[in-house]
Amino acid sequence: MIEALYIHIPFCEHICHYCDFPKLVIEKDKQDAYVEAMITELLSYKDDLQSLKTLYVGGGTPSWLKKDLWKRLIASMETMFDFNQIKEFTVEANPIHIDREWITLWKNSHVTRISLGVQSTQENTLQMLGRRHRKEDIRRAVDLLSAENAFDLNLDFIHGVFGQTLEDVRADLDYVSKVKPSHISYYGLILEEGTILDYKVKQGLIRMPDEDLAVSMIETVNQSLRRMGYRHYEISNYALHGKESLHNIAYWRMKPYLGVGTGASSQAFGKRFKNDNRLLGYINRVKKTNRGVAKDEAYDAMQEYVLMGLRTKTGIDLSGFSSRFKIDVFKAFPRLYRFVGGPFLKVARGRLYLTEAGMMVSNQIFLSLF
Amino acid sequence: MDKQDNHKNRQRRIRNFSIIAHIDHGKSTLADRILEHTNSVSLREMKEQMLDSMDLERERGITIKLNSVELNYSAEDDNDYIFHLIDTPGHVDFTYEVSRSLAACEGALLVVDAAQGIEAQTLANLYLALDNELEIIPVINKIDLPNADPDGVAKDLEDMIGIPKEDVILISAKEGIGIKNVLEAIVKRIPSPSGEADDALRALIFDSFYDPYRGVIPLIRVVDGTINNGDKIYLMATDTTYEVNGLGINAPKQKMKDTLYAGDVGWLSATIKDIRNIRIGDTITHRKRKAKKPLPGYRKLTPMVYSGIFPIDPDDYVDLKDALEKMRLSDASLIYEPETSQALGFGFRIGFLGMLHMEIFQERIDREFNQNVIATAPSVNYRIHLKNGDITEIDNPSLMPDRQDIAYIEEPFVKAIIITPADFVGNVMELCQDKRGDFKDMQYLSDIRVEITYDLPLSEIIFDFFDKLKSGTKGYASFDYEIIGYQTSDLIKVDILVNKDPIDALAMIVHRDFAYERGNRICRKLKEIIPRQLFQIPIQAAIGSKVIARTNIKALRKDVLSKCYGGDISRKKKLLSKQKEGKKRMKQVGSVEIPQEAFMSILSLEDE
Repeated sequence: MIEALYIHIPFCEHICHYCDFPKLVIEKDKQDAYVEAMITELLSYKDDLQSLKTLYVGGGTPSWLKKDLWKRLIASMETMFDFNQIKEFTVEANPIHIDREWITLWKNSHVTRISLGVQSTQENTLQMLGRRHRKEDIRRAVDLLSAENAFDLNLDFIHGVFGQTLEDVRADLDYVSKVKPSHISYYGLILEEGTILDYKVKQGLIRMPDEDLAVSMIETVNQSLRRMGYRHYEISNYALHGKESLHNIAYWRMKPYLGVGTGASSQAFGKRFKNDNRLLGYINRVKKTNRGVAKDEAYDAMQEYVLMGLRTKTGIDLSGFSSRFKIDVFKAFPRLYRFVGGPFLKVARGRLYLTEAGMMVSNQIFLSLF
Repeated sequence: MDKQDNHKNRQRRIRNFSIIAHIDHGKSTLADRILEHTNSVSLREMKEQMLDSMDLERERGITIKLNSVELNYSAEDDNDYIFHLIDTPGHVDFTYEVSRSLAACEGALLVVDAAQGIEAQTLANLYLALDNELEIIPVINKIDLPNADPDGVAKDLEDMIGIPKEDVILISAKEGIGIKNVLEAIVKRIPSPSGEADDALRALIFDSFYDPYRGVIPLIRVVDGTINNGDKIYLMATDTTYEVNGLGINAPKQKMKDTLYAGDVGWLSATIKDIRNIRIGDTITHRKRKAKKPLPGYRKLTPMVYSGIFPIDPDDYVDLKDALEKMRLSDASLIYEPETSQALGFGFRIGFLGMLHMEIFQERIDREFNQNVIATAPSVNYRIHLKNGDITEIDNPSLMPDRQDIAYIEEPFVKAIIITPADFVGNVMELCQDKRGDFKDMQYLSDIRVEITYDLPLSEIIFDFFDKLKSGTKGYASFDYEIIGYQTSDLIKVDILVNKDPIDALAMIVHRDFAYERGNRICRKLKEIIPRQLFQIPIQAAIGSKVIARTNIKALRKDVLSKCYGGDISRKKKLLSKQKEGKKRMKQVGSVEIPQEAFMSILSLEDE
């Protein structure tokens, strides 16, 4: 019973310095073949999509997709399943692309949430990240969207960027307090191999902020957002009451999901599998097999249940774990027990969960699952 | 009668010799050439059966295991001669073995590199050969090199050792030049072995190896008497008897023989299971006709350097024990006994003949036997004189008695001979002084080469002295040493505490003057090596209850993957799994995870 569907749009206008998602800067006219392939792949899953509750279009830059191709995609999906039963439909977008046309299109496409890749309102940080938008673009986009009042808004932010100060983070938080979107995703910058930022760090051109500053930033973000009324419901995600991302919760609660498009991952039919990362590779596979699946991936339901579940504020339900896996979680992972009662991991009301301090060093706790 | 004459004639045509040289002066290449010229093996076979038999040796380019081969040489006088080429190890750790294999010879080829000249080990081994009254044939090798100076080296030989220049044979082993001259010199100058085949048997054990089917195989030089297959033999140093069930020579392949006569070199098998009964330098005689006196020069091998070896996973203890037993079968000088460490659990304290011996052991235990172990920093043996008059010896710093009970401590000292170009004399002297050396002598071997003698504490040279010497002399210096006994020193025990717990396996015994500095350096080194953990870890060095150095490892505050959605989980699992693998070589000591390297690292302290 697959309730969550992810769709990947790999096209971008430019490459951001920190991004390691599958993405291509190609002319818009190459997008047609890709969308056709996606539609084919979707069709092949049609029977499994009848219980769909959440839909998420991510990228790349979904707003860089040709608008008529978007229409085509939505139209074909409308023939495959009933959009009325979809509780949440999220689309990622670049602030620069937000215009009336897109807003109308999205409204007519049953979209319920728009996720804007703001990253920061501060010029220096945006430049370091290689983002082309500026604060004015953000303001304009947010104003347009707020005026419409048709979508829940999520803003993505990043902290821990080279050259970013605590003041910069405070300025970003200040902006959040003014806009009060229903959802914030606030990420610590990760150096991914193969990105421009990674290259610069390796060449010694820039240095990542030291640990104490990084920790201060996290603490500042947590504190501020809490004061503003956001619930810190996952390591990097904050929501106003009732506005949590249902789609992502499927990931953290180990519910099955399907991914369509280049590099998309799925956890369904009792296993994990991943699509081909390359545009042509994906299109060819779909031509041959109607699907873009390239390989299976390791799937350890029990371990992942804990690994993902502990990322959320409420953690995992101990009896839920036992009934699903027929074993007590501390028997399955004896070294996990060491942390219970310490400052990082707690048990209360039948649930095992990480404290905010625990979330900051969660990898250390997760090691006991291996 | 005829048979005896035959033996006598044959004995006259035996030549037992060895090749002695400093490392890399061409000993192995010359040995290969000699094998070629005596047509003992085809070139291909020769490649397969080089004198160096273990993989490890070929890698390091040194000979560890002794072997000996019997070769046949047709000389210019139309006679056939029987050569026994006895190989010797060339590194400082194994001087005793070198001396015993020399004792099996009548002569020695002294090989000197025409470009490098006389080096410390050239001299060291030469003195050993002279001690054993061997006939020395001086050979200057590598005359093909552009910077070769054979005349200069020949003059040095004459000046230093009194070997007439005319006696020197010039060769290039690599190019195959002059080999015939060497072989003829062996025939003409090296005496045939003396010894009466009718006398009571005295055979010198100069090496052994382990055969999984036949047990321990001693290599022997029959000095007096005759040994036959089936004989009942008696080993004089260990008071044990065996029955010979196999006798033979290496030609270079093993060849069975019924009898070995005085002058012969070969091996015997007697299904000997316990290598401790086969002592290098021991005399084999007959049970029913014992020789009156054993052959001279036998010395019980004593280890000089001790280290604790512990399995990282305590469950592997039994496997480690088995591995050690197996290793000992092929390494007579490996001495060990069980040891318990509060920090590291159950393990063994192993005695080595020196650092090289220990390094080889570590490689073998890891590569050949697959044991994942922690080795503690090597220690020498200390003689503690207590106030109550008792004397106790310890080879493990953590066993040092209380300071108030100690009257004084003695530690082993060595006499070190260093040969260096004159330019680096200052560096050498500074290094030796840093190592608490006592200057003894300095001599100019030539205008530009100097021989310096220092007495040094063994504990100060066991780790990086050789490396520092090399780097301080651009690689030109060479160094040999011998134990000269124990001397009193102002030594104290420094404890290392990690997270307030004293870790017995990290304790050190140092000279009082060095305690603060060493303590500081170790704290800093441990801070680098011990990975941060979720709590702050104080590292301290202490003498008794007095903390003399300290540092802190900050608590880890951030280790998180901020993004983890559906597509990220596979990668995240891989990362965590890799991180976990990295921890495998860590030992949980109390509440702290300490990497394997930490225990040895306390020795490899870079100079600031």
